[in-house]
Amino acid sequence: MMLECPEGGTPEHRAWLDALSDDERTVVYAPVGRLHELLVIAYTKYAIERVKMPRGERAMLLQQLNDLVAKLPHGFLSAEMLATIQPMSDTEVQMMHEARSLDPKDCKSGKASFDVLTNLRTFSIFVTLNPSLLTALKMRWPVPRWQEEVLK
Amino acid sequence: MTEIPAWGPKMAALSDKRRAFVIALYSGDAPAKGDGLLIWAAQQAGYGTPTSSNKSLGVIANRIVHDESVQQAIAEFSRGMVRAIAPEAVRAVRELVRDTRHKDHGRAIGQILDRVAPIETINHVKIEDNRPPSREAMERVLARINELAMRAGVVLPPEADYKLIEGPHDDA
Repeated sequence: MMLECPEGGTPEHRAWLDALSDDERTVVYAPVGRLHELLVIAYTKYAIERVKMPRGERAMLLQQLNDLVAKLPHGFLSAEMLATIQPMSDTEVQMMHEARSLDPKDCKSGKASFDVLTNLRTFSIFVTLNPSLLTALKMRWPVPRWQEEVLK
Repeated sequence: MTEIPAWGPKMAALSDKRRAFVIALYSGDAPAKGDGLLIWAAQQAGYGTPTSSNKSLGVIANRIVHDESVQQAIAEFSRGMVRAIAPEAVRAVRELVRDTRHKDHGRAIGQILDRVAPIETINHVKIEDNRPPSREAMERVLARINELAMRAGVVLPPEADYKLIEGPHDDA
């Protein structure tokens, strides 16, 4: 999957939407905030598995990850989805860090990295490297028909 | 009367009679303003004659008090007087604070407390830098991401403009 989105509202955009596969539609119609959350979960799992840290800190990260199921709005994340998402690979982590380098120091919003990470092309690369992101997304995100109509 | 401070340049520049007029304005024996203060000061300074009427003394006093050099001397002398009477003022306030029956007792205490332990207001100003990254920085990062992806074996389509989908989103 490699998504490039033509400019919205153009005939090319409509044709592009019509030609999307089911997998691609799942990504395209998912709210960008949800895409970002999936990446953060995979990144956190990488940290828990691979980063050296005190045992207490690791336990705290695990707890926070599990708490997400209850915290995310509209029951977006189920325990099954959380279990499905695989940790990021080294390449994905490097990509994540590249994106994060765009955020000014002490910037808590992370707007710049958010925009890059949820960019369809970038997210497509993540999905190619880590298909579990798409698997998890499909568990929760059947695209409603009306939503397709709104975006066309 | 409180000890008069040494003359400043403005007072020193006045004639003796005019300087005496200014000093008389601050005399402890002087009547209040509106009760003939200016006429009394003019008399004390030696203006007029023993037979001068209050009216003519008033004209003289008004002319003197509105003279620019006299005005400047009054301002200068007032600043010196305020410093000189500061100990007296402190004593007066102390008496006021001690006199629990005085009508301004509470106000005096409040004013002193305001000076000794002023109310502090702390404003925390948080500045967050949310400027978007430059186009060059964005392109550099996207190119680096492409490079990492290709190195990991991801087949990328030809370079194209990166666009975000803008449209309504529903979390429901």
